[in-house]
Amino acid sequence: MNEYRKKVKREKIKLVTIQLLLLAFLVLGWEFLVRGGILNEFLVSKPSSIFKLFLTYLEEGNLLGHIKISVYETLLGLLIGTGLGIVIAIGLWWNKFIAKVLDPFLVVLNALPKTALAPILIIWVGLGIKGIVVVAISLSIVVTIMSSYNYFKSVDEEKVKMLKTFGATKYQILTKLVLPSNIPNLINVLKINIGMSWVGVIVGEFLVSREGIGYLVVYGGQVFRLDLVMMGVIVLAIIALVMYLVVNFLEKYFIRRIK
Amino acid sequence: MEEEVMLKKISMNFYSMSNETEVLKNVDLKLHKGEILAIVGPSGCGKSTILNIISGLLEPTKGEVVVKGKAGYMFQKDNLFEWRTIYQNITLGLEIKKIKDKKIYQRIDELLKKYGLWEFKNSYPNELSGGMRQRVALIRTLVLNPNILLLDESFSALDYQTRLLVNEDVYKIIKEENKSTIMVTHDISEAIAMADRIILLSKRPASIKKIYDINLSIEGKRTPLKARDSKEFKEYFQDLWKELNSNE
Repeated sequence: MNEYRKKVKREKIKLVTIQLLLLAFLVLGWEFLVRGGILNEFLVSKPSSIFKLFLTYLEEGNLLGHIKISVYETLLGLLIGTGLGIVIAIGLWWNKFIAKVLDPFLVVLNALPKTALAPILIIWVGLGIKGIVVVAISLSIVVTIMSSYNYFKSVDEEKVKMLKTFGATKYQILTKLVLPSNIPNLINVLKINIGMSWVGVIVGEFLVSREGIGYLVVYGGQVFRLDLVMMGVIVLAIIALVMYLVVNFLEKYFIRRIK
Repeated sequence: MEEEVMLKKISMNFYSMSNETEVLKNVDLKLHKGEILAIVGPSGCGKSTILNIISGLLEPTKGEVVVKGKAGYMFQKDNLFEWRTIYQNITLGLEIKKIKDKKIYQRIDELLKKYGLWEFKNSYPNELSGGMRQRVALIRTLVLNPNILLLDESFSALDYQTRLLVNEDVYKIIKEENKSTIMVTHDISEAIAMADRIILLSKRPASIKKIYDINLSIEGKRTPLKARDSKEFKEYFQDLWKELNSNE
């Protein structure tokens, strides 16, 4: 047992070490290729200047403010999109007739690239945070409705039958079986929606914003400051990673009780 | 003898857009108090439909159903909820019926202790063996105190070894708790081992082809394993086998 544990631990340390080395190799390689004149600094910038820029923006450029606003918009879009989507999916599960009526509309809405709707949505809802959040919601809500509804539908029929022999009401079937059996699936939906909401927020900020990370990236592109663009993207990657870790933690907390 | 369940001339048709399927035709059935009645028949002949009608999940197209008391259902799968502990699984039916009677909770403790599940009451279903899981499922049904048990292929998901053991378990529990039982099975030997009477159904539309009273010479208390060893077992088996495979 102890031997086995040690072996698993060694494997893990090895894995993380190699991952970190790979990252360091990429960053250092990038830096030296630019310094050696092999890559054009104007086009790809270099890690040290990006880091310097990061520090400057942290002090003078209100980077934290930009991060805060984007994270706020994303979280709002994520929670409303996922929450509302799940509530609507419950409604469809409750009333199969409405589900059948809405099915073709949902399929079309789902196939449509929602970013194409962004300009319309922003004009309807208004500029600023409101418009951006609505764009983020539009990206996650349709896919949430469709996948949650499918999960709800595919609950084991025999378990439903069992609850019915106990005399369960529809509401009890929902709260005792359908929802709890789908918690892992719903967490998965949440995971997918993190990415979706970020797309919505960045697109929204590209279009109308004066603040946020999407704004920084678009602004950097317009004035040919590639280091600013790169910094925006890297900050984005780090925040996305943190969010992913938080949801992962949530998942472990819930699934530990099931597995 | 007193009857707990009576079906009088039951017929059942299922409809779809393209056709009408006659599943049951003029089925008469009586379940006496305290007996185990097995229903055997070719697969897809509507055995489970009979249980669904008795439990009230389905209305028959024609005929009369009399059920005295409450029926508890046991399924092919144990249907335990993986996110609930064994104890929470057992109290599921009580939760749904909103029963808070203290006596029932004492009875749960008794049943858990009696049938060797006490140490596992806070475990999750995936920590239990298939046989233990089926026992939990039975207790979950028993706490609602039904006088009639309906077993719908309740053992067919288990491997042979476990199945024999669970047969023993369930038989013992049914007799100790004095439940009248209807079990549906496609396993002839299981039917003979457990049942006091066997009803053989014909192919669809199913009607009753033959009824067997199972009388086995067994020393001491009957158990399914002893029943399998009795000298009449083979004769019943051969007769049922022949009837089941004859094409009338």
